[in-house]
Amino acid sequence: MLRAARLVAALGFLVLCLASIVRTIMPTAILWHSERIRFERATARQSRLYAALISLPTVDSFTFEHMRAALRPGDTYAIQMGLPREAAAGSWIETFARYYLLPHLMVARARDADVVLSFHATPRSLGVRVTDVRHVAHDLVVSRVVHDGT
Amino acid sequence: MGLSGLLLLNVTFLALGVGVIGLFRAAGNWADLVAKLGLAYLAGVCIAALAAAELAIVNVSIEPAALALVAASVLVAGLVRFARGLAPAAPLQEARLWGSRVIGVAALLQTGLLLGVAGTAFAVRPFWEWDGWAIWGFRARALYALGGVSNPAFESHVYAHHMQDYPLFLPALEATAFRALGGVDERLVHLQLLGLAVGFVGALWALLRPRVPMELLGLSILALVAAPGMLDTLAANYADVPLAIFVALGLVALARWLLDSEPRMLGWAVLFLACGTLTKNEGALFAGAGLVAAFLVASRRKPLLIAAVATFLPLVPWRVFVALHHIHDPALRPRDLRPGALAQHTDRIGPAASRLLRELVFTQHGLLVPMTLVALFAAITAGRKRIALFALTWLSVSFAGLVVVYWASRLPLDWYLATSAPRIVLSLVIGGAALAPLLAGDAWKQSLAELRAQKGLYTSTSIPTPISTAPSNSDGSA
Repeated sequence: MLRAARLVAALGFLVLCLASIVRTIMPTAILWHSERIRFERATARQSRLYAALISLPTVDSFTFEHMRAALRPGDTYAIQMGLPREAAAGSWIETFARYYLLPHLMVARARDADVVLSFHATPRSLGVRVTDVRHVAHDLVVSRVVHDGT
Repeated sequence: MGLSGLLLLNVTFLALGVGVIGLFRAAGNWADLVAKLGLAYLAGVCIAALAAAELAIVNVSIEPAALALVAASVLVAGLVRFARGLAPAAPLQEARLWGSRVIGVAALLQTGLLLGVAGTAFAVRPFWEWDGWAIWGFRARALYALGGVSNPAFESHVYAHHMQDYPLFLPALEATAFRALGGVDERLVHLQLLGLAVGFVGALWALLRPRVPMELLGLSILALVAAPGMLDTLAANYADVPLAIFVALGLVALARWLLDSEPRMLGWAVLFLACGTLTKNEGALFAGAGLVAAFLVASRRKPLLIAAVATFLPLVPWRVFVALHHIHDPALRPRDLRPGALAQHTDRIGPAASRLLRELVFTQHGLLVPMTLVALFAAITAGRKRIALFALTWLSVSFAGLVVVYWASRLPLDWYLATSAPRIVLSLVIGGAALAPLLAGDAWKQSLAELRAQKGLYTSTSIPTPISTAPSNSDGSA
């Protein structure tokens, strides 16, 4: 009885192994083949911004490129979010910016930053002295904070 | 540097691992060393990334050139020690099915082919899954750009959304890969992740082959690698698969130690479980559950206590950093685990347990879960009750631990389960499936021997097997 159970268990394991392979190997190979086709022609910039395109489909991904271009080495930044607080997109944009703009670091308050990135907002409403105000995209205004002594 | 830099880094990992194997005499001869190259590579990855994660806490980053210098020194010292203690190669003798080698080699080749096909996509795939870039990719980029953790990315509440309390193993490994690549390349860094899968295959083969027939092991490994959830979750840059890999290898090494009392196996278990604890917070749960399960069935417990200390020791500096900076896991705070807090929402237990079970049973992981269950039964029928109890205890304690986490958390249960349960069960699925060939191996060998004795159908090796194929009540001593 025990021998029969052992044989059944051993054969059952082998059969399950084979069945699992048969069920999964082709779909897995096809998946990776299709993933290669999906991404192999993408440029470096398209690949860098793909996460933004997928996660934030309502935001122009190149906004983040404009943000990055506005920062000088060592600059810190703050984001002035003009979208309503209840709109999740505002928080998503800030999250992606924190990722994409590294090694530049985000600070909580505009007055502590070197640069303010105003998204659907105007830096004039901040109450912080700014200079070099530029409208770099339809939804983004970049300005440099004037610190005392600078 | 680009791809060539990454390749050099991985050769460095291999050299480091071979050196360590030589230093600890974990291979007896050249053939044995070649068979353990996969294990050596993953060991090199683990040691280097552990060191990088620890050094990041004191704001020191590991440069590939410095790592190569250390690896070369370790390799030379290891090879000298290895060459001095060479033992004659003893052929592995076992009852085997006709064509078993062909099946085993074909399965390994197929596994390699599948990893190769996946590799062509890994090399061009960007980070795009949310947690993949927002947590793991962010932390890797921050470590690469800022050199350590003493900066707002890891300390300031502004960055709290990026799960600041998660440990540093995977980001440290990716940051080292960025340095080897010469900059942040979110596509090619996927090849470093694929290296973990390649190392997993090689390490599992090296750890299990002395105990498991080639055909069974080859097919089990192919089934594991081909299963949905394995490579796709790895490519997403989620830490769940690296965690599952380390936990699975740690468990396999623990099981081999329980069976054979080989001290080196406990060393491998410590290395892989320590990497698990430094990969994700739940790694501590899975590693702890493995050590508890081993403690339950082990005949010698003192080495296990030392192993437990060694497993959790590398986590201490990171937990001190987290405590000093008052960083909290938004999903679970220590006070949530107090009996009074738990008693307030016992209504979460049922839905959490049921959802986790559904993820285990009904989600497509190939047939890995049924394979594990049948292997448990096979182990019992083969007289390997102790090792079956070890596996069952690990699965049960880990599952219970996950239920407690969902029960204690203050996050909305439906959302929390929907966003994490499909991934969090991967360690259970992959850990169980990695143990499965070890559990089923003896039943397979015993059945073959019985059939051969009855009908003479199988290869006529009348050589006595080093591991008896007779049923026995005591593991490893049959």
